[in-house]
Amino acid sequence: MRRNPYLGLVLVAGLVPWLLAGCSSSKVVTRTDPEEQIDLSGNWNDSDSRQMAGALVDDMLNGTAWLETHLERAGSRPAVIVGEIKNRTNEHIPMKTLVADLEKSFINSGRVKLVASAEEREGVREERADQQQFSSPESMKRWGRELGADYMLLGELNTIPDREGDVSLKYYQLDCYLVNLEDNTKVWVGDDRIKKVVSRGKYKP
Amino acid sequence: MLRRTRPAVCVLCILPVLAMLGGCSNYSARLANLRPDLAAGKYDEALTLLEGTRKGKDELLYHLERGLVLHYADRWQESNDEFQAGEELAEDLYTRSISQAVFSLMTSDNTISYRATPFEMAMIPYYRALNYAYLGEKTEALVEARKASFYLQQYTDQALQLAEQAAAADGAQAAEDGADAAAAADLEQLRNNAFLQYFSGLLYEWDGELNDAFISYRQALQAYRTTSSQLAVETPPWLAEDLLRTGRRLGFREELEQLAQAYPDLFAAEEGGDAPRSSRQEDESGEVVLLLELGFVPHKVQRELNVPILKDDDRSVAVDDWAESLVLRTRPGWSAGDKEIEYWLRLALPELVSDCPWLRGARVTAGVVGGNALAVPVEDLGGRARLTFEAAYGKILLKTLARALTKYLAKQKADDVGWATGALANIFGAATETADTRSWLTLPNLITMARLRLAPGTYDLRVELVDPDGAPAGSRTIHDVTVQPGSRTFISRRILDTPPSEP
Repeated sequence: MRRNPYLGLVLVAGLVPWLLAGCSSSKVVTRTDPEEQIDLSGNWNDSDSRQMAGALVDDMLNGTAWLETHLERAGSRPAVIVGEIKNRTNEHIPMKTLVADLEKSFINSGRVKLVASAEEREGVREERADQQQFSSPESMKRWGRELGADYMLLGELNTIPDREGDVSLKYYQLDCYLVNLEDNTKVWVGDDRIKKVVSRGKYKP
Repeated sequence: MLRRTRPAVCVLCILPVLAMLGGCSNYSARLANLRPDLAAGKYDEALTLLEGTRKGKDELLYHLERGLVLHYADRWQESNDEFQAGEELAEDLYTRSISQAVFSLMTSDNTISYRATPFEMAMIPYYRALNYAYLGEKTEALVEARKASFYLQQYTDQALQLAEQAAAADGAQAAEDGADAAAAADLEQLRNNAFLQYFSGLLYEWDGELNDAFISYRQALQAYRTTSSQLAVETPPWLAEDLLRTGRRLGFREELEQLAQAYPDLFAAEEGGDAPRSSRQEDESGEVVLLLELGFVPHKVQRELNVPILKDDDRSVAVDDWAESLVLRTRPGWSAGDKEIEYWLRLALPELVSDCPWLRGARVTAGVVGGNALAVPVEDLGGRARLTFEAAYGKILLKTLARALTKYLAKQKADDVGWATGALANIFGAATETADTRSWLTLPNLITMARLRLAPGTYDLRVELVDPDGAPAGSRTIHDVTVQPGSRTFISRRILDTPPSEP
């Protein structure tokens, strides 16, 4: 009996994808080290945030004139507040995470004092007001002893995306500047950059 | 007896499988109630209906349709999540599946995962930006404007690629009448999306990014001028003023002079008209940008076509070449003459059905003191759908012909084996012959825009709709529109009424 090549082809073409799909297992959850760098889509991720915050704070605090000048003049560590870091990229990026990473790097450096943000201060003041009514006199914190920041860190995150066929480039640049809160002078300007190349296959089985 | 019944049982058993392979019914028929549900404001029913497309080859459309239904249902965050999922899936679909492509050569294009057209994808940043504006997240709305700028470049490349493919697929026939090549050239002209550029410019200026706003306005002007012959939109009347305002603030004197020379008709009116408002006047008042989305974008339906195979057709050539020679026979007026017809190939082809909105614009008033403005067309999605379809049609026809010929040849060989095999091949061919009628069905046909500069406060906007002849066609009231000094308020409304019945 003659075999029909057409039907064979149909069966192969039809069954192969189903077999391949069948090989993939159901949902798997794997715990991993939060510090581990994992790149999936090439978009902005937690590793980028940590890397840029660390590099920028290092650059700001190591061997820079503004810090030496401040220490000489004031005789104490400067108080810094992290202001708005604008997202000027074409991605929805949680900027609070980047601000938190910057704050963490400041505190871990031990070279500056970090002042809480305006939003956080409101919460702290509510708590202090509550203490006035309900805390014991010896543990109650006093009003008017908040530390005013000497400098404010401001900045913006930019991106320059590019794509040609199967390859896309993602370039992120974080530009930050430190402003003296008394006279509005910029005492330090710095940046950090990340460049990623994302390749995509044109075909899959 | 047993021997004779076994093949028949096989045929019966395999029928449902074959029907599944072919995609059973086409997309637009399956979702026939989607548009009526949306028009009636039955959002939950529309969302339930869409659940049938959640998994499988129409998954991208599931996200797009659902994202838009949720947008109209004022569920803005969910809408954005859905669009985000759609964008991620579209990115994954860049990598084409070889098995799907091979399978589609023997079944139908419905077995390939749907990849949205460039003009469909370009609408995602528009809706997402509106969602973020409603949520009060201005920064995120601006992200959508920047994304739109990047996507536009990307989709431009895709549109060009589509045009090139269409021209190549048209092959010998293009040289004969040039129809598809002309359609491809039209599509190439649409590579820049004027409306999206203009909308991005408005968003940039809203956030004070004047340089980006100026660039977007300038690109919008160029694009509107290029596409006015293909789409039913003209350059918006405010665009010259937008350019002058942002350009002056930036000190772009030379650029403005160049624009005035390139587009004298547009800028002469502005220069000679009322004196431009001072920045103080602009800071003290606010602006409402009202976007009225009218009708439904054209959708595809299945059209059946019978193409004759002649007894003296040359069967020694490759299937693709044979298919190309059959293209002429699909055109009206072709006749076989005295040649003997051996077989009628049944083709299922997509056909674009125009859903022209019966409304054309509106007059918007904000009370006695608020003044009024005309809503003018700024985006013709219906035109884009038509040009995209026309540019791709040559390729679709050729592929459908080649597939039908393959099935025909297979059936002939199967007949040689036996009646059951022949019957199976015949059923397979018929069951899988469905046209790919997929498209983003809930998109509007036309977007119109009205802009009103108003003193800070809360207004009820009255929208007087007009038909294509300028006659009144009903009205709407948009309540509690808040205007803040020096800011813009973006509002969109979908108008989906059916035209009044003929007397």
